[in-house]
Amino acid sequence: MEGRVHDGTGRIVVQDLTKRFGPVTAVQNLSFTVEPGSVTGFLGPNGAGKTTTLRMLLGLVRPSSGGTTINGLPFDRLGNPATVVGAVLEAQSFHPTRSARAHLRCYAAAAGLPDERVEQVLTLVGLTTAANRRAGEFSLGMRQRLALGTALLGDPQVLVLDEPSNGLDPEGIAWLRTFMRSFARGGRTVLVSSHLLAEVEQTVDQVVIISGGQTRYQGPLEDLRRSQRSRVLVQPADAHALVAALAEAGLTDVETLEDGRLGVTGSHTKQVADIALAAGVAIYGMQEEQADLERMFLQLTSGEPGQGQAGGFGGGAA
Amino acid sequence: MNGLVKAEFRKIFSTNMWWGLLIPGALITLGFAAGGAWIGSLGAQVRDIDEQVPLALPLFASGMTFGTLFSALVGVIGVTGEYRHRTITTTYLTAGSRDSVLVAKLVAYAGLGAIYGVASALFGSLGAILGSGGEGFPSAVSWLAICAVGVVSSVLWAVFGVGLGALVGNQLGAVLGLLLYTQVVEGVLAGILRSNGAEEVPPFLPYTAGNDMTMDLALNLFFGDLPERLTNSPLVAPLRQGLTEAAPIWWASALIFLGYAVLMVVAGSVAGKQRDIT
Repeated sequence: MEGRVHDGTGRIVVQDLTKRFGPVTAVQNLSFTVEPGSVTGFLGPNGAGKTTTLRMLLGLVRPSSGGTTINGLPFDRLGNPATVVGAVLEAQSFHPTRSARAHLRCYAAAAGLPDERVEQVLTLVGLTTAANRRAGEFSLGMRQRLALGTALLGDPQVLVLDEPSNGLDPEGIAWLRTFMRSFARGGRTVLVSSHLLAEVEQTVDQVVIISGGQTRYQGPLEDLRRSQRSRVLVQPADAHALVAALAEAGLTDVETLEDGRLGVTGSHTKQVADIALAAGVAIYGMQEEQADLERMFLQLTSGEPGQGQAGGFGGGAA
Repeated sequence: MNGLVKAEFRKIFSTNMWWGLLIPGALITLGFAAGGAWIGSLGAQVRDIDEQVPLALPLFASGMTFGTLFSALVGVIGVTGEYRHRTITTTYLTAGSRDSVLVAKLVAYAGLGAIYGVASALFGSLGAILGSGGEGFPSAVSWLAICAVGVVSSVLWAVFGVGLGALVGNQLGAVLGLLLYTQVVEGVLAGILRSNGAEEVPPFLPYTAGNDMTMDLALNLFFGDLPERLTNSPLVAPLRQGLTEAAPIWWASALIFLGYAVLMVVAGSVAGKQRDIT
């Protein structure tokens, strides 16, 4: 079969992707790459175009221009796609009167898998005891488990999850995090979307941040964290003298805030206090701003189109 | 491809819809075959001549044509149910292409249409026995011929339904469209055509053609089986002419309807490939 000739890398490539729904441009010239062996967070506020992008990647929505590949092939040439990529999407559901087991058996047959695989998957997602219940009676958490089980039927190399934490209890979220990490550790690819950085911060290695249908940042989460240097806010008796002393010590990234305090970037409280003492400048108050990823994320996603990329966050924009 | 067909059969038999439509379909076939709605006028006129006319056959055939509507419905509801319950996403994620899904559905629902056709033949036969008191039955060959054509018509209607469902997508819209068109619109349209001198057109409309493939054969067999003294009767001859000569021969009607079913499937395929699943 022609479709079987994918390169087997597990790499996802999104290239110049654009989608217009009538007058609305949902996704605009979006490009990013997702490498195997890592969990990549696909982040952006609601309405940023995340779901549309994932649906284009999975052949469910036709791009207006540009394209996507998984294993070097567009989705419709994967042959038996369930064995390459599994997906848990929002607005993907079950027939309310069909049992969980019957649901899985339908799709196992479609992917040419034996029925034993259904039992394995039921065990994997912890639905064995509920297998004969109708999916319509399931809680949101159980539905997510069934959706994940369906995605895993074909033992795929790539897993795509759209806001998977929605509806999961804390226990389910913890379980899902562990699962995603172990899945990626085996050299496979996980792409997980969320509108909250905090939700995936502990799970992801790489992030792709989009807003307004465009990429704002792509790279390791660690680089993003490092690019946000801490800042010391200090209220000196003599601002002039302190700025001079700081400059002498090599700290030139200093700004005067609206309330009269100085913002010293790239330093910490101890260093600023020592410099002030040596210069004989009294300090009335001082605090250190923590590197706040969430704030950075908000800045990236609320900015005007293009600003985020122009900002250049270290080596992350590769 | 075999896997996708198997998947479609599993989808069909893992919910209640298949028997939820089969039972009313079979009962309505039984009811029409027993009561003989429109055939009543034919019955009254023929009975004026002779009590022993084999009316059971046209009664049976009319019942079966009503039953085929349920084959179309099961195709429509089965396909659009995937959109309604949002399972179409998973279906497309586990198939090589959208057309392969459509072909698998066509095979599965054609099979289900055959099951509906057989049930319709059985219940229609029962209805004809009840309705005619066990009298007036034609030869077994004529009876089996109507059964066979009825089953083929049921399969074609299921195929038509799958195509319509794939074309429309929205379940309520597709079901209402099917019912309104077959039960109201085509009748009105045919009336307008006839009163404007285009009486040769209505037999080429889909619902009429789909019904005529069974009804025309039944009427031809019915009139052909009548004793000679009846066929020559001044009452029967014009009746025969009016009922059988307005429509094309049964197999021509079958081909016309097959054309509509194919057209519907092609339209469904095109629409299905364009549709964004959001």
